[in-house]
Amino acid sequence: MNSYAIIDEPKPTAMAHLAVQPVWPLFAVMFGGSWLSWPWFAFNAFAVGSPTKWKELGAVCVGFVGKLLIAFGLIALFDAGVTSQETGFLALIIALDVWKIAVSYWLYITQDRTIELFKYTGGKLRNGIILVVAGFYINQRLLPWIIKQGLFVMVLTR
Amino acid sequence: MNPANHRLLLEAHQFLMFGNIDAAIERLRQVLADDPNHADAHALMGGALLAKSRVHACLHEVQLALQNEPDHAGARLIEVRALLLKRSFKIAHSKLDELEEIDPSNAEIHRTRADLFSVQGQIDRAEQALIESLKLDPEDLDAQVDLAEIALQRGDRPKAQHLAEQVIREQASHRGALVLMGFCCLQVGQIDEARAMSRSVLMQNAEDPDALRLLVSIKARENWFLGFWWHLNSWVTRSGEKRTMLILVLAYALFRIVDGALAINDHSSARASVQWVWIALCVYSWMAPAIFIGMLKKELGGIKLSDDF
Repeated sequence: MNSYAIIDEPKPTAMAHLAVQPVWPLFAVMFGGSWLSWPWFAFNAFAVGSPTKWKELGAVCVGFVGKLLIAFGLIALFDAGVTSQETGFLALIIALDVWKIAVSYWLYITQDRTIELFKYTGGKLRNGIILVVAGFYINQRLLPWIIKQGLFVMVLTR
Repeated sequence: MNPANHRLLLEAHQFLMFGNIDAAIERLRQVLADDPNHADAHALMGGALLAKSRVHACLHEVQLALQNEPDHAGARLIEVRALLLKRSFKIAHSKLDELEEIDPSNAEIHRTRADLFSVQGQIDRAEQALIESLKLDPEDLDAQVDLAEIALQRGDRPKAQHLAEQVIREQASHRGALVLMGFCCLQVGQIDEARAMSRSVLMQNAEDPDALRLLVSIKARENWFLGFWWHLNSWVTRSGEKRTMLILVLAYALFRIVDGALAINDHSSARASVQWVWIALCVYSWMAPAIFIGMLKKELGGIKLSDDF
């Protein structure tokens, strides 16, 4: 007999064995950057077959677009002479970080519910520490290069 | 109805009564796999999912129940309770109005409305709704316990205790009354008595949310360091997920702005202090819940469940 599926339950895919606790992508945003964290959140959602996977992918896209809009908006203010260079740069960094944390936290709480159900139904999760450490290492090594590439690359990767 | 499904439905109902939600969900799954249009099974599934705080799934099940049986009163009440948890108060009130028009003599409707007012902080109106409910069903022990809880919220502990004792005299194992007695004991510092109340309820139902809340309150009282986290967490999360997220993001933004302003104005020692406070808060907010939950699990591990569970 086929089992009855409840709407909020995940439907694990063949990649489910690669899924991690959402706390690891959350750590990745702190130690690596959104370039690692957000696609990882999206991958995790698709791997476990989260019922909100498209919503989460949408949040990742909105996250990257939002970062660009914040950056362009603040640069426009700076060009118009509304802010000084120092204050403008600080505001840019703070606004980007707050946006990054808000998007990541939303992804975390959305995914956490599904992952709990995934675990409850017998799903096994991997430890994501290696990827977080790798992300941190790459971020540190590439940061000077990223800064040289200009604002666009910096905003997208930070 | 298929006799096997009938039996499964009865079992699910029994499991729900005793708080064994997982077992109830499994029985209901079997019924719905065989008969996907079974309104009662969908409604019960909604109730079970609500007990697990799976609000979205609960509302979906309720919709399925109502599609098959539009006047299903049980499903409609579960829907209101889910809306209450979702903090959609306006819609919940209008759904209750509709229900009241259909069946004005249903005491459960008034009790649900009392819960709604209570969550909204409208204690007087909640009390009035409970009095209405008790007029319709004077023997409703749950409504009496709710009245006692309102007395406790008002700070009238003797009245709350008296009402709870009355209920316990009627039904010695009434979970709500025992938990309320526990909270009354806790208020006057009788921690061992409060713990005994909590444990007696958890023996009946290991997942009773009110008994767990009582046990958490006891733990918080015993350890101020972890207790502070619990109070902070209760305050941050009390108005739902969106508000929680907003508070956390605003706290982070505030920290970054203060940190940035101190950097620009060259106050390096003040900046270092702010950063240390922030780091300490972050570490505390990661460590405290882990320790707290560990302690709670240890205590729960020592509770022997009753055979009925």
